[in-house]
Amino acid sequence: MLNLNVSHIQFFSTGDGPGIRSTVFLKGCNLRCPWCHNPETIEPAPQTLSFPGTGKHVLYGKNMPVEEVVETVMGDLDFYKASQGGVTISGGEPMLQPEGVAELCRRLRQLGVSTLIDTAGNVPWEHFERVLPYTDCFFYDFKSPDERVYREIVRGNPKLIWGNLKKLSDVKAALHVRIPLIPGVNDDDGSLERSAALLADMGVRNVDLLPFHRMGGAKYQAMGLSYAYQDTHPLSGERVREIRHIFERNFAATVES
Amino acid sequence: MKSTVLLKEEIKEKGVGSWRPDYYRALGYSSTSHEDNARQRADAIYTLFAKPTPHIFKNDLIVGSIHDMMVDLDEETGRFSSETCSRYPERNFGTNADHYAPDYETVLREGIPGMFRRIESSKKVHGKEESRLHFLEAMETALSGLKARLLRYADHCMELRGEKGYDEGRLDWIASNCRQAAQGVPETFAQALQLVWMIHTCFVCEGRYAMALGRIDQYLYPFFRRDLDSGILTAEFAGELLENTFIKIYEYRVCKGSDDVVNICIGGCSPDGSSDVNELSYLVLEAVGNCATPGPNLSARISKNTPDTFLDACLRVIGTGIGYPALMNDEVNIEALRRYGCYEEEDIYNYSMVGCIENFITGKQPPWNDGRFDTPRFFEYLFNRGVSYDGESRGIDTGNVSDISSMAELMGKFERQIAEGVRLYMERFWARNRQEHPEELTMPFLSCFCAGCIEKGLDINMGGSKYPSAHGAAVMGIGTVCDSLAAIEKTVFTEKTTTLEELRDAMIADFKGYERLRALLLEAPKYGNNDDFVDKYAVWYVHFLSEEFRKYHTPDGGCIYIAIAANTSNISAGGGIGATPDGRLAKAPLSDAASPTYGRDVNGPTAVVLSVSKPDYGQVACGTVLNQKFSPGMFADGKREKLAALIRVYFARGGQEMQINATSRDILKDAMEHPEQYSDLVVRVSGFSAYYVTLNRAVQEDILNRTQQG
Repeated sequence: MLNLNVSHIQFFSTGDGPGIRSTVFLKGCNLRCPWCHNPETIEPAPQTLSFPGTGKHVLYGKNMPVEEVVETVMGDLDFYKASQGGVTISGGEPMLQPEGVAELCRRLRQLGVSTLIDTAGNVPWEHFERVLPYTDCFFYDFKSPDERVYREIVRGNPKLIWGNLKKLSDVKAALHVRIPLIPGVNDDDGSLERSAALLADMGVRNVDLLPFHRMGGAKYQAMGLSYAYQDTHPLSGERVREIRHIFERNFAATVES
Repeated sequence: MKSTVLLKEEIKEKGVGSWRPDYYRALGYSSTSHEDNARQRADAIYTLFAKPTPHIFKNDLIVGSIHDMMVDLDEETGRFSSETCSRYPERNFGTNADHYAPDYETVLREGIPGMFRRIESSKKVHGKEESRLHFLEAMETALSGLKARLLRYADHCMELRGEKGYDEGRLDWIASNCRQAAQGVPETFAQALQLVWMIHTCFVCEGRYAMALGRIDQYLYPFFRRDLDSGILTAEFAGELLENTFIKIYEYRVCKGSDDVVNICIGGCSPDGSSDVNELSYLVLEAVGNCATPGPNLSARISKNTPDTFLDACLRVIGTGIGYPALMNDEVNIEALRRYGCYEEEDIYNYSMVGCIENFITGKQPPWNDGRFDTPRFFEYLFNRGVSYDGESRGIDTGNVSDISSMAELMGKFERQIAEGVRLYMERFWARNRQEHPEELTMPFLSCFCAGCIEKGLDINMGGSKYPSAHGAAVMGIGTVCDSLAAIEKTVFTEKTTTLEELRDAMIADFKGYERLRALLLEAPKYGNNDDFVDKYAVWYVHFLSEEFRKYHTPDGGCIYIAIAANTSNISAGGGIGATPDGRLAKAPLSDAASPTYGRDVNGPTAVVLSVSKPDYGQVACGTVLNQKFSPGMFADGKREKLAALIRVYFARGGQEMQINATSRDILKDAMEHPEQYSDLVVRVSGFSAYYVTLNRAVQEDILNRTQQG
C-alpha cells in the first residue's frame, strides 16, 4: 500500500487552479526559500504549530494511505464537477513523493477528477515521467532568472529545475509558470525582462504572477521561528500592474490575488 | 446615481417635531359620526393619510414621505391625541399586524377606481349583513384616504412651483403621475411605482413595520416592458426611479430611530419551471445595491433555471459588502409550502418573503408572526429531572439520567422533553394570538390589499383572506444540539470515557473542575464538517421539530411552520441556558441559525454546505438562514464563479438559503475600535442588514467570529 506524507488538506481552495479545488499539501521540501508562506510543509517530520493568542494547536503531518487521501477529497466531487475544478497536489515539494503522487493522480483521474501538480521542479526528470500520464496540469515555480539566486538563496539546482521545465514544455504538458514576485529578489525590471526572455525561449505560454504577501508570518511565529520577510511590504497594486504588462507581451499573464 | 446621493442627504435632515401619527388619527376619531369600531377606525385612517401636509424632497421623482408624521405638538394636543388613540388599541406583530406582502398586482391592474367598484358590488352582495356592510364602508373610507393623499401630493407639487431648488417640469410630471394613480389605472412604470410606494408609506404611517414590497420585478414588469417598447422609458431611468424609491426606506431610521426591514423579492420561477428573471430583476438588484442602506431587505429566489448571469449579478452586489441579496432556493421553498397541502400551486409559485426570510403567500393570508424556540434548553430538563440548573424553569421529569442505558433511550426522553416544550410554546402562542373581540381590532386599509377581503366583506384577520394565518417557530441552536448529542454518543456510549451522571454534574458546575471532561466533549465530531456521526442529528432535528409543530394550528386554522433561523436571539437565548453537553459554557450564545457553532467548522465552506444540506429542508416552510462570510477577494472576476458553483451545489443538494457577508475581519475589527470612521458600514446580521456600529458589542463579536471562509 502506497502512503503519502501529507501536511494537511485544504478544501474550497480557490487560488490553486481552476474551479473549486481541494489542495493536498505534502510535507517535505528540498528548497529553502526564505519567503516561503507554507513553512510548516518544509520539514518531512510532523510538527505542531501553536498559534499565539488563540490557544490553537494544529498538527501538520500525517502518513496517509493514498486511498484515504482519495476518499477524503472525493467528498467534494460535486463541487469539482460544478466548477470545472479538481484536486491540486502541492507542498512542500510533491515531486519528492512521485510514486504516491502518481498513484493518487491515477486514482483521481479514474474517478473523473482533474489533477494538478504544483511543483518547484528540483527533482530528477524521472519523477516527472512517473506522474505525467495522470496529471492534467502543472503549476511550475520560477523564482529567478539568476542561477545565483537558486544556488545561494533558494538552494536548488537551476540547471535541473530549468531543464525539467523545458522538457515539460517540450512534451506539451499543460503548464502554468508561477512567479512569486519577491521584493529585492526578482521584482526589478531587469530580472523580470530576463525571466520573460528565458521563459519565452522555453516555449512557455502561461505565466501566473504571485505578488509577495505576509500571510504566512503567523505560521513562523507559531513554529517559534523568525520570518525574514516580516517587515517587507507587499508590492503596490500599480507596480503589480506594471509587471503584468511586461509579461503580457509574450504570455497569457494573470495575477493571483 | 447622483440624484440618489442628493436625495439621501435631504432625507437625513430630521427637522423639528416628533413621530406623532396619533395626532392625525385623533382628528378622525374625535370627529367620527359612526358607532361601529371599523368605521371609526376608517375615519381615523382617512385623516391619518389625507390631513398631513405632503413632504416632497427636491430630488424626489417618486413621492411619498413618512416625514409628514413628524409634528411639533403642544403638550395638551399631544396628550389629547395619545389618549384618544389609546381607546382604539391596535394589533401588533404577535397578533398579525405587519410583516405582510400586499397584493400589489391587483391594485396595479384595476387601479383605485377598480377597487372602489369591487367594494361597491360586494356591498350589494352583503347588503343585508350590517357588520360586513360597515366593514366594506370602512375599506372604502380608508381607500379614499389613500386617494386623497395622492391628490394632496399632486396639489402640493403645484404649490411648490417656483420654490428654490424645485424643478417645475419635474413637479408637473410627479403631479400627473399622482393624479393618474389616484383616479385611474396606472399607465406607466412611473405611475405604477408611484402607486405602490404611496400605499407602502400609508402602511408605515399606520405604524406597521416590515411591510414587504413583494415580487416587484414581476408586478412592475408589464409597465416596464410597455414603456420601454414605446420609447418613453429607458432602463437607466427605470433604475433611477427604483433607487429614488428604495432610498426613502431610510426615512424610517431618520424619523423613528431604527431601521425598517422591507423585504423585496426578485427572481423565482413559474409553475412550468421557467425562470422569472427579467431585465427589471437586474435593475432592482442594482438599485438596492446602489442605495447601500439597511432597510431594503433584498431576497433573490434562485431556482435551477435561474441564469448564471443573474446569480453572478447577485454576487457582485453581495461583494460590495452590504450583505444583500439573501439567496433563496426556490425548489426547496416551493416544496416546503406545497407539503402543507393547503395552498394552490399558482399561489405557492407567487410566494415572496416578509421580514427577514419568512416565506409568505403574497397578498393572500393574514400578516405573518413568529416566535423563538430554544431547543438546547431541554438538555437541562433531561439531565436534571425536569428542573433547569438554576432552578428557575421547569420541563417534565423524565427520570434519572443514570438509568439511561443507550443513545436510543436518551433520544426518546429528549424527544419527550421537546414535545412538551412545543406543547407549552403553542399554548403560549394561542394565549397571545387569539383575540376575544377581533371586531374591535380590524384593519380596513390593509384588508384592501389581501385577496378575498373585499369579496367577503371581512377583515383580513376575521376570515377575509383567502388562506388562514401561518405561524413560524424559529427553532434555535441546531449546531449546539447536534454537537451535544454527538458528544454524548461518543463519550458516554461509544468510548465510555464518562457517564451521564458525571456529565450532569459537570454541566451544573459549568465545567469548573471538569476541564478534562470538557476537553473530551470538545474533541467529539462537530456539525459543519461533513461528518455523518454528528450530521445525522441535524437530519433528526429538522424532521422531529417539523413533525412536532405540524401537529398544531393557528387559532384560525392555519399552519405552523418551523424556521432554522434566529436573528440574533441565539445570543440572548444562550444567556439564559446553562452549560450544554457539547462543552459550551453556561450563558454562551447558542449556535446561530442553521450555521455550525462558531469556529467549529474547520474544513471550509464545502464541508459546511455538505453538512447543512443533509436535513430535508422541504420540511422547513418558514425558511432557513445560513450565514457565510467570505473575504472581498472572493468576489473578484474569476473568483465569483467559484462561489456561484458552491451555491449551485448547495442548492442542488437541498440547502435552503445562504446569505453572505463580504467584509474582511480586519475592517470589522477596526470598526469596533473606531466606530466614528465606519458610520456607513452595513453588514448582514442574520436575517437582515444593519449599520455595524449601531450593533452592540456582543453582536459585533458574533459577526466577527463567524468563520471567514476562503
